[in-house]
Amino acid sequence: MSAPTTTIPAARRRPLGAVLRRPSSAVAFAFLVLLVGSAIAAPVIAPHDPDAQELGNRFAGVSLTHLAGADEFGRDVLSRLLYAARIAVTAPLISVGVAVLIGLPTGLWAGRRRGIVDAVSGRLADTLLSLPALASALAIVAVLGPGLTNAMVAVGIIFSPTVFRVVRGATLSVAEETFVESATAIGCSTRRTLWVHILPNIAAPLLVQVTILMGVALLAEASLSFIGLGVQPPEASWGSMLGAAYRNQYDAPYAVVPPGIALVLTVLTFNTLGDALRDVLAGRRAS
Amino acid sequence: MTAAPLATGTAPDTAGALLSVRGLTLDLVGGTPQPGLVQGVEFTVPKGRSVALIGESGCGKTLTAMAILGLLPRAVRVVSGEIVFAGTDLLTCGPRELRRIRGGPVGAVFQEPMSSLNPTMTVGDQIAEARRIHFREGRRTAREHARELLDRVGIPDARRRLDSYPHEMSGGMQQRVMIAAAIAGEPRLVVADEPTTALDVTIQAEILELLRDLRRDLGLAVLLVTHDLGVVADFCDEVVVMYAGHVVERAPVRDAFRTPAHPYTSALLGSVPRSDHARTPLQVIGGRVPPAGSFPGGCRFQPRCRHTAPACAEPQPDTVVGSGHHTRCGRVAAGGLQPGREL
Amino acid sequence: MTDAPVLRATGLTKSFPLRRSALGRVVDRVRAVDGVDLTVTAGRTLGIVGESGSGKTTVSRLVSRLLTVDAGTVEVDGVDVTAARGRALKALRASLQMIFQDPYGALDPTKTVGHAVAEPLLVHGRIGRRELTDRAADLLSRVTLDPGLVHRYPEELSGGQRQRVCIARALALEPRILVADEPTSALDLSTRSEILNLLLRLQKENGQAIVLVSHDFATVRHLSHRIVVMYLGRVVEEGPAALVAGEPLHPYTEALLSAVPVADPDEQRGRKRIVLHGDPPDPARPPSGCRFRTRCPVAMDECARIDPPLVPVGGERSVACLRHPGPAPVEPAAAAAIRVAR
Repeated sequence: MSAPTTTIPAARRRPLGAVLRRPSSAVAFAFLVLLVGSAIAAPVIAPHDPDAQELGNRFAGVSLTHLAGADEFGRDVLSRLLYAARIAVTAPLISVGVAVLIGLPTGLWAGRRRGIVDAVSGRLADTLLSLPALASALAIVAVLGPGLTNAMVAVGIIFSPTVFRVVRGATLSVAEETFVESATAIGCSTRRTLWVHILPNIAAPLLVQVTILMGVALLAEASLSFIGLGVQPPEASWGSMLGAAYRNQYDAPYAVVPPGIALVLTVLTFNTLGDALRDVLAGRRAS
Repeated sequence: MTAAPLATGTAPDTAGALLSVRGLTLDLVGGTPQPGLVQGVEFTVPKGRSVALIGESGCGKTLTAMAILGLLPRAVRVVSGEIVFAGTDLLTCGPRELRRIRGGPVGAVFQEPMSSLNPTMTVGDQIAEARRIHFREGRRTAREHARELLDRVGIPDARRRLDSYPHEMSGGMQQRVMIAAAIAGEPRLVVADEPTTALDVTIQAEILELLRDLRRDLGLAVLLVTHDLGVVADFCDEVVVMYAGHVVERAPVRDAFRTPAHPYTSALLGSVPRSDHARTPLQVIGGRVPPAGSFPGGCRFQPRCRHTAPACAEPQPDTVVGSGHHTRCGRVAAGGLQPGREL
Repeated sequence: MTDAPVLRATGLTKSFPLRRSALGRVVDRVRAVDGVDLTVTAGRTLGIVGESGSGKTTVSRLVSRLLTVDAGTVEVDGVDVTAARGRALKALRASLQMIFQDPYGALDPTKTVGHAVAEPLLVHGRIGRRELTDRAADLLSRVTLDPGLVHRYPEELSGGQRQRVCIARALALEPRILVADEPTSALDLSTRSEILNLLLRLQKENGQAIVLVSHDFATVRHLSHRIVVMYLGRVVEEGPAALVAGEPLHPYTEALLSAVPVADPDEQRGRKRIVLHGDPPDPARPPSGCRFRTRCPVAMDECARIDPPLVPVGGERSVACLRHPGPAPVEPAAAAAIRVAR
């Protein structure tokens, strides 16, 4: 036999490489690396203790000691921004983690088993999706009590029907493929078929959804922290910093700028990467 | 049922041709450019005759048909050659002229009737459209003609069927509608790209029967793109065999099947199961059609050929080996190999 | 070679829901397979030929237990596997393997060729992960593929190579029965003959029974010892391949054969042509009596009333046609009784 001569589009085997070849997503990816890096290295690179109050410095402007100024308690804004990056990274991870933990197995099961499992879980998902997201999150937080983890678990629960739907839809279409029938024919158990053959084939749409949800989760975190249901003082998140800035808008109207920019850039990063992944993977399907 | 008379080996000269394709060369320009996707393709379709364009997938037969219809994909560019239909070069005439010819004197039938028909239009409107465009008929006249055409292609209850949508019909009926639309422009040539491949074999027999009747009644010439040698034997007068973008052999149908003058044609014939050789190994052609862009120099079939010689690496000229019988095999042309099924 | 059947199916019946009411109740169904019997012996090939809607594909899924029967039984080596579950079903999988029509969709795009080929051995606990590559290479060479392909992905392979990979995968467990559903219809002409040759050679080497399902009479004729002709969920004719393809008895078999053009211009143009008219009936609403009568060129009045049973007519053949009533002519009343009993 002659050796195969066809070349595979690079996008097929290495989607990340294809994503990074786009200038916009390369920039987004670089920003993400920077964000995670500063979150990890915050204790080393932060110029001050983020919670150290210097009341004499209240609303201090930009200076060499306070590169981004100081807040209403005289705390260094740059240091708080850097520490808050930790929350910007971990909080969405909690939500998306919870959403995937709930949505993935149920979606796989519903998509593969169809029938009554599918009907019941589908209705449940529809019901959850028809509730106003933030109001439901508030209700769940009211039950669990305020705090960042509780808030993000609540957001994760709200997201889970979205993940369920994506997984179920992808599973339904993959389950129609002959290789799934072939897996049954050689004697694979349902569990093996799901994890070994179906899951890797639905990874692409799931990855896209997860990336986009990261951005939405960050916004949700910011909103909850803004109204005081997320991070608890003195810990800082960009949302709670925005909240503080809002309350002190007459004393320091510029204070909304640093956390605002950080928030917008990060959400934009997640969305850019999600869109790029979707385009690359869609092209992969089409080819 | 009477069978169509078998074509004899008279040479169709270009002068009497309805369609003549000369030196057609197509390059792929988008993505990774690949020159010579189709190279120097040359054949004619005489008036009222049926010519088969055969070969495996990736041999350029559909691209050649699309070039004739002026429906080439954006990424494929005509580099050289001419496609002369009834005195007009379809490659150089303007878009207006092309629109007049396509759907008029040149009709088209494709493989997938379901995706070739517009799902949002009734079949009557789709057939009438050709009459309205090409003959400027009014709504009522065109509709009446559409009914006659549906009748003509053997759709029962034609008047009621005018208002059906394609999805309400079976695959065989859809293909009949496609044919009705193709002959609505009163064509002299129909280009049919695998028109029966998606159909069941009993339906295929009905469609071939219909095409045969239409040829006889309307004096149509047909260029049939197919990979089914049985259909060729059944329906066609002449055969054009393509391999990797080259025409490797052209012959009257009987000569092509009896005394193939190119090893590729002979290998294709040998790969068809025959009832008197059940459960015996069939002839195979090792390897596969090289992807466009990596075609070998000289004879493009040479890496898979049983008779490869050093001379095969040189360009192979088109040589006449019999009446209307051309081959692109230099070894056959030089007399080193004898035409025949054992080639 | 023994004559004991390795696979025997009796009275296979399967219907599929067409429409459901708002409450999920099935309000309309199509009987895809209706009382089909099959027998396959070791080392032999049974060809099932039919057009779309004939139920041939459903039969292949029923005997391989990828679908569950509504009625009827499937026996492998004399053991009833119709309701096998768990371990018994897994054992059945080891003795009966499938080759699918579409070699492009039949291989998981995220798994290497080596994994695809050796996975059955892994699933059945016959090898450990470490032996996977070696065993896969062995299997690939059995289907004359380069063993070096083990680390490749299916998308890097041609259609013919993929179908060989599928065949190697089906052979991994050394099954006694291979069910091949249109194994060559997605392939090019020259590749098709390679696959047919491979199936012939493997059967000669290993003595598998093969059930070959195809719409292509020429392919079925080429590989089969016996042929079953199906129309709208029923077997209309059954017998030795040379007889069924050479001297067909049922008018449908005759029409089907006549519709397959022979790749020889002189012979083809000299043949008697039977062109059927009209579309096959809606399988959900088959005609009364004989299902073929609406398209049959030789239909009689009785054909609308009597549903002809499949009866032996001698020479190891059976036909379901009133024009071939068999050695003991079936009285209309008796035939009606048979129909009622179904």
